[in-house]
Amino acid sequence: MTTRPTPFYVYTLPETLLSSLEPISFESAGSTSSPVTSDSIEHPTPANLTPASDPLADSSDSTTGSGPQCNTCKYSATSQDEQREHYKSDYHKFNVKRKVLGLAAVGQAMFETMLDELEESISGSDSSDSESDPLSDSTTDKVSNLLAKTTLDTILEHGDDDAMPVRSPFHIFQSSLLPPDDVLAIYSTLFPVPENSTPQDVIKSRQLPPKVHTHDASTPVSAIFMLGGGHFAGAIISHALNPQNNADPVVFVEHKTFHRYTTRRKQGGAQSASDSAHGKAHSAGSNLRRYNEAALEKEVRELLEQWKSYIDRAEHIFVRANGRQNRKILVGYDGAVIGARDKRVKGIPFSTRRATGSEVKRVWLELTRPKIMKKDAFAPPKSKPKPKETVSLTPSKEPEPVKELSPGELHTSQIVAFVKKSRTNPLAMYLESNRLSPDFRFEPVEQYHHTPTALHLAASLSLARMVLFLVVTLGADPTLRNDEGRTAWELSGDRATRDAFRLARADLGEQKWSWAESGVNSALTKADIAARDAREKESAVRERAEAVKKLEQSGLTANQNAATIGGRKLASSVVTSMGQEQQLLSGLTPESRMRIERERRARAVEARLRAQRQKE
Amino acid sequence: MAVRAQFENSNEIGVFATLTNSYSLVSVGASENFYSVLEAELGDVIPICHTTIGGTRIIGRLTAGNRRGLLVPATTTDQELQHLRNSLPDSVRIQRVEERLSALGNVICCNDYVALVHPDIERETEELISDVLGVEVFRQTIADNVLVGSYCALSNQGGLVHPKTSIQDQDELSSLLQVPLVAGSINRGSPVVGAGMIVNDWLAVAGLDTTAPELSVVESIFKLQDAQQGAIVGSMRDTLIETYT
Repeated sequence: MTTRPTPFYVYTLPETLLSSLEPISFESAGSTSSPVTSDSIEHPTPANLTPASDPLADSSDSTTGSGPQCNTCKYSATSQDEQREHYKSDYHKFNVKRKVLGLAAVGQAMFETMLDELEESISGSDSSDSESDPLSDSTTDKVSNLLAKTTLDTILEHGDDDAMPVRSPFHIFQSSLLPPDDVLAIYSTLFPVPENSTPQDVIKSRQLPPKVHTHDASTPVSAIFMLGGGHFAGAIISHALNPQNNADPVVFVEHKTFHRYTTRRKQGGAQSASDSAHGKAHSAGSNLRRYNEAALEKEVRELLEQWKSYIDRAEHIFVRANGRQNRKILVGYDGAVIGARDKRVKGIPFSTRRATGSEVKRVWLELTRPKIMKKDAFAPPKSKPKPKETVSLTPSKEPEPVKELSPGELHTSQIVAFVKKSRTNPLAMYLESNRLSPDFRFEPVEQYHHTPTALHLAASLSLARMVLFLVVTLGADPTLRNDEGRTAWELSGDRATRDAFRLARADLGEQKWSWAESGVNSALTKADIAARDAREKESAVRERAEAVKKLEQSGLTANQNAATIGGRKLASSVVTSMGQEQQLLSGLTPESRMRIERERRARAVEARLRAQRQKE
Repeated sequence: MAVRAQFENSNEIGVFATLTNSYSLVSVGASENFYSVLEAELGDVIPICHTTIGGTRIIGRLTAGNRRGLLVPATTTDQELQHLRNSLPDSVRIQRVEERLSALGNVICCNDYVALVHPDIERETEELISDVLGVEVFRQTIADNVLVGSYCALSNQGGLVHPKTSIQDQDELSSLLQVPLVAGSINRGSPVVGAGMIVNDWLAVAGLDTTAPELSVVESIFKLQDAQQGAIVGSMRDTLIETYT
């Protein structure tokens, strides 16, 4: 990928350049010649909405038709009869069902492509007899299959539709000021595009007013925090650049770096990681590192607290912290300055070096300099999908002589990549076009002794959706064992993955595999999962209520104990005081009595929480 | 004519009764007032059949029918089916339906010509509906609700849909059903219009809680008013109905 930085700055782009920008989408830029894959379902482009012979395609996305309109499919018919035909079509039914599931409607052309794909990926060889059927049950079966397949893809995940397609980290623009085969790329993480808006509008709205080229209190700021290996670097950066100093234009409003000795020399890794993996070491060094880890955490959090006013008004918060432990130091701890669900928190979309002040500067400059790229050379980052696509499309020239890998190893690397990225449909296409079984054994054997098949790999990576897809759709064998004699079920890391296996068991039926041998627990349906979640929530609520009640009772008995210890006199005084309280309550209306009771209970809970915190 | 009634202290009339142009079903109970209201309006015109469906009284939500036929769920017992057969006119076809979504009244909303159904209904059921009831069947949602039967009251004259149905959806549905539709509520603001009332071409019965404006919307959309009442409602229509498609 040839990339040239430009002298521009994204917050002060020249007016002429701004007005000449035209966005081009990733699909049309990267793979104009490649056919439609299911990845593009969510992002229909003009290119794949126009099959040659389809009379409906032209109107599928327009509202030009004068007649009645179908709101579900955004389809407008020319006549009443045509409208009725449309409402009875499988296409409309499919879209209505998608709407009920909360998914966006698909275009007519897309629907047909999906149907074709379904045929390829599921039925495989026997397409002749299903095609000869007159448009009756077979098509509706396909519709329900298709729907089952799409819902399968969405059931276990909540909202990470964006994780599926490989997305470019850039907004890419054409401009009349650039040579025709060059494009301008701006990191999209700086300009999140809300719905019904375009990237260039967002960029325009974020431009600094022309006078403000020096920093003052009203200039927007962003924060960058980098943490790793005991190094911390953080800065609050003004969006205005320093015009005087061209060599070092970044304006730090605040900045700070720390270093503490926390990583184990030669072994590598954090002390806490080693502690949790191998148990606590008792060497002097380990104690030192443990102390330093805690100290670093404390210092960083104090710093964040100090910078709170800046962080609260920061437009972006870039966080580079590898691993949950590191991230937890910065984001989303108890009473954190930066909330776990803060929309402004973003990763840094390129690799960075050790956390230092100059690295923070470099990160900011890299983020904010638009880049010029060659259009034809432009490919998604890592440039992997390209060769993949050609391999899967043209199986005839599949053994690529460029690499010195055996075909088995080549397949392995491809399949592993698909599984790791949870790309279900490309995986299915790849397996089919290369005539590979879903139980394909990875090569070299010694490297994959733990995860010899795709299913093992998906299970060990806790990719629930992938597991479901492999077992249900591709028919992978869950009874296979790895070299350590373990089945995929035994490798699955979390409950979602195990649920996926159990769902698959429910879906395929008891006869399909000898499930006992695979170790998979009893079958489970979606309804069961929902019921279980509800039950757990309910029992958590109940436990809490019981704890409160118990606490109250223990408080009462403690009172009574104290009374008996103190002898008759004390006891009598307690009784009278309780009696007074009773009297007080008895004079009140039931509502206010209830309110007092409730307040008393709330006080008890607070006291308990305080006690607990002190104990910790 | 639109009247108010209560079934055993419940305003959800559509739960306990079904009304079509050729018969009416009411559930067995102690609500003599309700029976007499219906008998006063329908007594000598169409048969009123007192029945249960599968031993329950929520027959309005379990059955769907029109002038030509009646669909009952698979839970209906043989005795009940025989009783219905004996009470209803011979021209009415009665059919038991094996459908997972067994509350047919909730998932089917029909008049004598068209039916809207739940999008997930089985294909066999769809065929039965069009066969027995003699209607065109469309899978649709109303205001993003799949329970079309609960959120729509429909006759050959017009239809009342969920109050939050968008104008576009109303346009779409009325062009599909070929009758005027209005978005409105029943029983003092309840959105479940299908379960809150029963309607045919000359009578609507709504819950006792229904307000006067709600009742007058019902009268005007289902074209139930008498001549002189019509004049009043006609002149007041603009104040009562926001959109009229």
